[in-house]
Amino acid sequence: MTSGPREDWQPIEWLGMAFFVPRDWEIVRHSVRCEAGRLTFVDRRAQRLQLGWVRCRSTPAVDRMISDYQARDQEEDAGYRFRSVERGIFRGYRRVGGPMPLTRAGTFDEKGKRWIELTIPWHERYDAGLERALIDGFDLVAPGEEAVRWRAFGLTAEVPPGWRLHRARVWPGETELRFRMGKGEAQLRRIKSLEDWFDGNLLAFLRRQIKGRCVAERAGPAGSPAEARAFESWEDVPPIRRWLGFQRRRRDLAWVEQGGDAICQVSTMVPPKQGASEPEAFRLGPQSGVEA
Amino acid sequence: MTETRERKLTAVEMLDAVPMRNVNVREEDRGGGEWRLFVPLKRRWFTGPPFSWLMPLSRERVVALDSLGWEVWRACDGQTRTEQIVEAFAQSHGLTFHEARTSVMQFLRMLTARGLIVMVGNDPEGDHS
Repeated sequence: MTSGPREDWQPIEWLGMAFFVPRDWEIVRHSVRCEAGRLTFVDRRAQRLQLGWVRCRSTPAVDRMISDYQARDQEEDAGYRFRSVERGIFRGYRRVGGPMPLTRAGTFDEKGKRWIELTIPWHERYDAGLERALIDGFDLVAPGEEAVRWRAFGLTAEVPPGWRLHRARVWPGETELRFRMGKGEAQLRRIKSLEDWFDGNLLAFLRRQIKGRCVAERAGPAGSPAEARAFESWEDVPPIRRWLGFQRRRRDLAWVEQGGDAICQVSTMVPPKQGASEPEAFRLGPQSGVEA
Repeated sequence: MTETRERKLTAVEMLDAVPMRNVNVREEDRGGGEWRLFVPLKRRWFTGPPFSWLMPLSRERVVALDSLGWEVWRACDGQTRTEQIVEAFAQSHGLTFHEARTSVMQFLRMLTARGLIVMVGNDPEGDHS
């Protein structure tokens, strides 16, 4: 049984959409585009939830969409029957009676101009409590372009306004989010399983990341986590780009999380003309409520 | 009579399957967190004399393991299900189940391809007899 109190669930925040899912669910497919995309969650055995979004200039005809969906479902299997679902801002239906029961509900985000849709397949049996908790826990925090907080893949990241998620990469034990603003770039990384590879030397770890010329090495600035180490350097670029003034200033900040479970690293690479963009302006930490 | 069949297991079947070691594999502790596994190679007509007098052909394939690989190899005891191996690996390395599953499954596939283990699964179509 996966339904339960929301305190035991993990909070997810992605492109300005905040919601809760059971802690043993994980994201296996993700998109970073505001125009259209999806997040797919699975448990150990099967897909449990798909959150999809697509840009809409105006409010869609929801009744028409639902009837179109139902007609398509009927074509798939004539045995499907439908029950209406209306909870909070979500409207949709529950498909029962056929080979693959599911709940499909959507809402229109007026501010972000996007249609958001939840699809919850019921592989074993219908769980009304789970459906209720997933839909009721959903909140629209900000339009996708203005999202400043990200909670997924085991990390929580907060970025200054204006930075947009450009890429998210996940490996076992490591998550990397890359943000862009103008010609500037910021990279937020969280790396786990320290006992398998980390010798405790944070400076050596940072030095390995920096291929270009190191300008200064200092203790973490005020406001950064204790024991943080900071580097200032220049981006490693071909000489021609350096002569043309396209070399970006690189600032790195890294620290070991309390408890020594993970290393957090924030790197910014910004052209000198764009002004300072300190790594301390970014917040990075573990995602609360996540298994292991 | 027992009939054995080979087919590709789905991701869920892989979780329920039991990895079993090849009993002919020889282990060697190289020290410094490195282990080596030696798998006897199938004898072919061109690997015996007189060709073996002319060319030094190895009779074993060598697979080197680090401490993580060794941990998973030792867990393949013929009784523990893949899901339990993944759970234990996740717990000992502070990973989530899915992170551990990605690493362990990839490693088990490599071991299977090199003939070090076989994955024994339940046949959904019934027993083999």
